[in-house]
Amino acid sequence: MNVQRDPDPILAAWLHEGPTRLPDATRRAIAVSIRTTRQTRLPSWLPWRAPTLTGMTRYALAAVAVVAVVVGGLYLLKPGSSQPGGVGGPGSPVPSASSSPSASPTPSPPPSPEPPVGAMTQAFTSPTFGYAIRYPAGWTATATTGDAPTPGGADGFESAAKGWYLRALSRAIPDGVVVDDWIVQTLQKSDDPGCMPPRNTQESVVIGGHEGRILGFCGVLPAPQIEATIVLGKRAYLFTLFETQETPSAEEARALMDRFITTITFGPASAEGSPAPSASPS
Amino acid sequence: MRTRLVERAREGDDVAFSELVDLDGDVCYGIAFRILRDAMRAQDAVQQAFLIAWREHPRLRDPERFGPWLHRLLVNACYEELRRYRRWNANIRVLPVDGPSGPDPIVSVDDRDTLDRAFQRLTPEHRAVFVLHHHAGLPLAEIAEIVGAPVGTVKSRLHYATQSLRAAIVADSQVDPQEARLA
Repeated sequence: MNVQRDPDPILAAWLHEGPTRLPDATRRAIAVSIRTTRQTRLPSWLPWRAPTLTGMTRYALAAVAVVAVVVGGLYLLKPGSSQPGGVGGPGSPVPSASSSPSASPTPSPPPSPEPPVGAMTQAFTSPTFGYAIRYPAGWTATATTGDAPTPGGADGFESAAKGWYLRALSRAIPDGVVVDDWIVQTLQKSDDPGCMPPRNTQESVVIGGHEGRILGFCGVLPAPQIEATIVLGKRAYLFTLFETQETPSAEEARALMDRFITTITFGPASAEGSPAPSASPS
Repeated sequence: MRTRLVERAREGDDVAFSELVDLDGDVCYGIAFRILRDAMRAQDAVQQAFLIAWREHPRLRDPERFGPWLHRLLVNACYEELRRYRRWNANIRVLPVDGPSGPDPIVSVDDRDTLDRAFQRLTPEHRAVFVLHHHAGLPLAEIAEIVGAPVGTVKSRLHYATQSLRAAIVADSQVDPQEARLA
């Protein structure tokens, strides 16, 4: 027989615990920040408030919008149009995020769904960590700036909707360590030990022509993620893919990770603070 | 008065904006701390939210909506903090601080540990909804506006988060009655 307590008072008290006043140092830091930060200036013609639309105005604007859509659609579908993406215009056989959306050449095809992430059209080379990668158009690449956003530094690639996030970094491997153990304990440090198998049991994957390891979607909340690691000479690389807004399926996340992996090439000798390379990337 | 401060801040008056920081800073800090369970990161999130609020202030069309808008920036700043440091600081034990709302005797060390761990397992979105409702006391419709999700989704996240934390306490409190008598 067990004694069961009412959890709600405990939960309420736990939630109530904690600081209640913003420290003065933070207030001062904010004050300094705003004095040295310029506000975004809007064009002077933008109204302070959104104008209130009367019923007639609303209908008139809706009618104009409908006419614009119809006219635009007819123009794009006009046979012989030379506009990119129009029927009869030059079409691209490979979907590209940097090209305009193109209409199908068949008269009434079923609309094909847009891929969730566009083609890997953008290139990024990391002088700090010694690798190059391609990423989708529309994503934002942020090179490491010291310890941000990760202690020791990491490059970040973020989707336009700020859902997907790929983090990439490399570190020099210290002397005298067991490499696989060191990677798991430092680079792949996990808050759920059950989710972090020994590196030599992780799935094998080829990255940039070299054998690496990949750790699938282990489903740990709040960070379902996929990690790939690779060792080149005295340098270890870590690529981590997160999805922060929704929880995608394991297959979806793995498919995206595989797309990134196929674009990665290495140049460990070019990474900052690297010793002489003992392996050269293909 | 608050609306007037918002309007003055929009015109670039940093003194007026500092008064808004004084008015809203404590509430924002309380929310950020409870979402992040870390004082330093909460301070960073609050600072980031206010900095963006200042920079983007001219884009805020309706001064009456400053509060929800600021909370949205704050929640996004918390998400960012969680994402940046999720793995690297995951094992840091967050201890309650002294002060007016310091440790409550009703919460044992074990309870606190259990709840901290259960809370860490929640997604940032679940944490935010739970804190905005149970700590900040905001209605579901306003939370929906802040987190950019339908009310139904907010309701479901709140239910899941609350049940998860309750379940953690209940599971932890399955004690032997003999031990309970001795305690």
